[in-house]
Amino acid sequence: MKPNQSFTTLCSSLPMHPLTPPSPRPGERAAGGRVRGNRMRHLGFALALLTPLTFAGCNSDSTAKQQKAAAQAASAAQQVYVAPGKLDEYYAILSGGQSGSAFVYGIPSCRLIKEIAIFEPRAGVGYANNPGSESYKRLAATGPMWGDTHHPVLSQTDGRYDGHWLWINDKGNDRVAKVDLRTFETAEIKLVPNIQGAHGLAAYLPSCKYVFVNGELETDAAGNSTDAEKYRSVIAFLDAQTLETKFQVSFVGNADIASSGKDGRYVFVTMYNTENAMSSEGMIERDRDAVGAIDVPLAEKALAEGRFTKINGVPVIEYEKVSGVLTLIPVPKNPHGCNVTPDGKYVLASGKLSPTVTIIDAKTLKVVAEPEVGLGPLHTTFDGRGNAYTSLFVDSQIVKWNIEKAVKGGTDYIIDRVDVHYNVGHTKAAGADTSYPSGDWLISLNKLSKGMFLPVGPGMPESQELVDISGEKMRVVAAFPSLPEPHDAVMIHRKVLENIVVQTHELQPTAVKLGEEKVVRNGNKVDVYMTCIRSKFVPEQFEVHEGDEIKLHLTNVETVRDMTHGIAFSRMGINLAVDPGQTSETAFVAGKPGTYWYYCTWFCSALHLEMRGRLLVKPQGVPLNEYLGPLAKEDKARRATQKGNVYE
Amino acid sequence: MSKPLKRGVLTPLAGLCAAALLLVSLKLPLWQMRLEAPQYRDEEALKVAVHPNSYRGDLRELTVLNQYIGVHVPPTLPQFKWLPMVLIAGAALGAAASFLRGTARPRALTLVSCVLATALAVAAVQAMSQMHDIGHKRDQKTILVGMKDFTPPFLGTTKIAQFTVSSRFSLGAWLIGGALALQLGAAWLSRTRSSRGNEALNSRPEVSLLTSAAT
Repeated sequence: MKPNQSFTTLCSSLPMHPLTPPSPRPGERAAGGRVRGNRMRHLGFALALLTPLTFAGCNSDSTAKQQKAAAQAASAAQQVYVAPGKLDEYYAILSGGQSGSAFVYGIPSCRLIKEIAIFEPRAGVGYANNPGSESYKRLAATGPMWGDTHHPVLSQTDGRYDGHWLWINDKGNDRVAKVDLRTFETAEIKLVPNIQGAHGLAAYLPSCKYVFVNGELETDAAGNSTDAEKYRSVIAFLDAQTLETKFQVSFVGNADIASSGKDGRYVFVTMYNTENAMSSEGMIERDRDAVGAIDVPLAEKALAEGRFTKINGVPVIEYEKVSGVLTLIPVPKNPHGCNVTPDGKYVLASGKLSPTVTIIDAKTLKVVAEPEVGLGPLHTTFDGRGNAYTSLFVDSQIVKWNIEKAVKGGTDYIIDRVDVHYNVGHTKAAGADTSYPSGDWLISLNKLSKGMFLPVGPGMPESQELVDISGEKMRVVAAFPSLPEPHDAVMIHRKVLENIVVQTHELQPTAVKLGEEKVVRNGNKVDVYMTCIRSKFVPEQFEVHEGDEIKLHLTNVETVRDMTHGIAFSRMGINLAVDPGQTSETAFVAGKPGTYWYYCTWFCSALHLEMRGRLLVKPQGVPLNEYLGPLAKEDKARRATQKGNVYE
Repeated sequence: MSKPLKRGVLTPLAGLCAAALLLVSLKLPLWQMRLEAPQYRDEEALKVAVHPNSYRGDLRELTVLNQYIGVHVPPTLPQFKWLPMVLIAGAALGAAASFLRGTARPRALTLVSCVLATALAVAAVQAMSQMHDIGHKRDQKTILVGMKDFTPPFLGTTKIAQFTVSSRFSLGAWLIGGALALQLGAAWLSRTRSSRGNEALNSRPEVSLLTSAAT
């Protein structure tokens, strides 16, 4: 968070006194020779607070307060200002909730960079939006074309993010997906059997060989009965790479949020329905619910010894039959967040209905303290300096408190509180789920934005706030909206991904190569192998009969990043998008006879609009002109010069 | 070791070093061009490197861009066929010449280096002409109108459309320059040693014996 020098200069030149002359017009040179008008645009936040100063009264106290507020606003603006062309420090990956995706923001600028399409089609990027595409088939094979993503989890090596994978769950349809951070694209999706309401997700540490996901909604997976007496839930352990479910631990009740110990022994879950009730009143009946601790090595041993029941092809270890595999630690009723401290010493259960956080020794599983922190504690995150930050849903606050002071029973463990807007759910500090949090930024993921942004009708965007936690006192420095509805977030420093994120896709074996474009007919099935590069599709036209089943294989043969092309077939409902080096497929049936243009949907070049071709659909029985291949035409010379990056 | 003995070793050593530099240069770029534009900046700037036998670099991207201005870069150049042979011959003949005796050595070394330099100059002049043709013999049906004919810089910087184009010699060229200097230096050294040796033969026979032993 080094101050940007030019910005500092600018802030110091801002009007801080009622009698300061009006700002120069946009484009006019201010004293010091800088074009002030352009820079002012970056300072909306600061100016909004500064402008009223010019109308301030003579009360010196009030003026002093306003000046202080203005200085703080300018300082906050400076912290989040990232000049055009400059890169943010962190990637923040926010789950998209019922958008079924994940959002990538730059921190500290809070700029939205990408939406990672995962459990829902995204026509704009050609993701799962037509039944002939591989992404559609993969998603459809695992469930509905909608998802409810909750918990993004990053892979770790030696207690640090390694930048390889992001896992995320779909609570709505009980799936887990893996995102490849080389491309920020979905690499795998799997349905988790025997589970409903796949909610809490975490990686089993330190090895990350499993990701485990909690069943929040109780069912009878074994018998499919509707008898609530037979309901159970499972905690499913998935192979972190293939996402195949390796085993599950089942129990009566439910499991909500998940967190892993750091030493490979226990993983922890909160359980708010130990009553196994079917109504909300019933779920809050008992004074105490639980944090569950699953002994993973013991579960693996039981698995090896065959002490399980197979349900829907998955080994399920019933906790009653393997003593010690699941230990229930009583905590105040209906806990929510579950977070292991970076040193692995404690697991913290946030009280939700109780104003406390329960501190449990992660090795002995004994409750060591239960400090009161405020109303509606939901989640806790860490700065690596021994402090915890707990989100208070009811109070709309983040509270900073010292863990060891609370454990020792002192009363001075609360360090600071800061208001957030409004009803904060998850909160996450950078690297908080690793062994080495960086302790600089924290995101508050708020459930309501109310009047935080321009009104756009009764429904408002979700609201996130960025909090500077580098000092003793917290400072909210920015708020940014998002589509619905981020539940949780992770932040990874850009240096981790610096040499991991690729600029172009590696050509797959299925890629269509330049000069090898062709149209292959087999009865009424037509395979079209097409390439695209500025500013041409090859082939630029092909013919089929009415009712033919067309399968298009499209490779983007560009070699520079960001040169994405799309292909839309008029009135066929087809849009693909292919990034450089990427190959995508789609399949569709040729409609009634006529001419159907296909065109590039991503503005790519000066000839973008001319980058189009014709699908010629002819009536059955009418002879077709065969596509003779690219080398049959004037393309030959052009292709000869494009075979590679070496001319000899 | 006396000075004359040193010189006697230095001359063939210089010839061998020159040969080594020439052979190494076969694998290195001789010349490079960097093209920067708003959307091709920093590490995304386009680069072309000319090796003794090929072009390398962002050629596909340049081919894509060239189509908009009707430019066609030939896939190969005549120099790519003979330049590697010239460098190999220069290395072999230069090394051999540095082992010759008497006045043949400086003469042969001078001849080899001059022939090599001339061949390189021919390659460079040819390249300049080719670069002129690239920017002037353009497809008349060029896509972007209003683009004037141009010549990419052989050395230095110029502006072509949205690109700032900078050209300079690369490591291979500097190695060849070093090889030429070594060959000429060896020739000079041989000549002076020879004349000094003659003087020494008249006045200091003990030294002349040593130098002739060294040669």
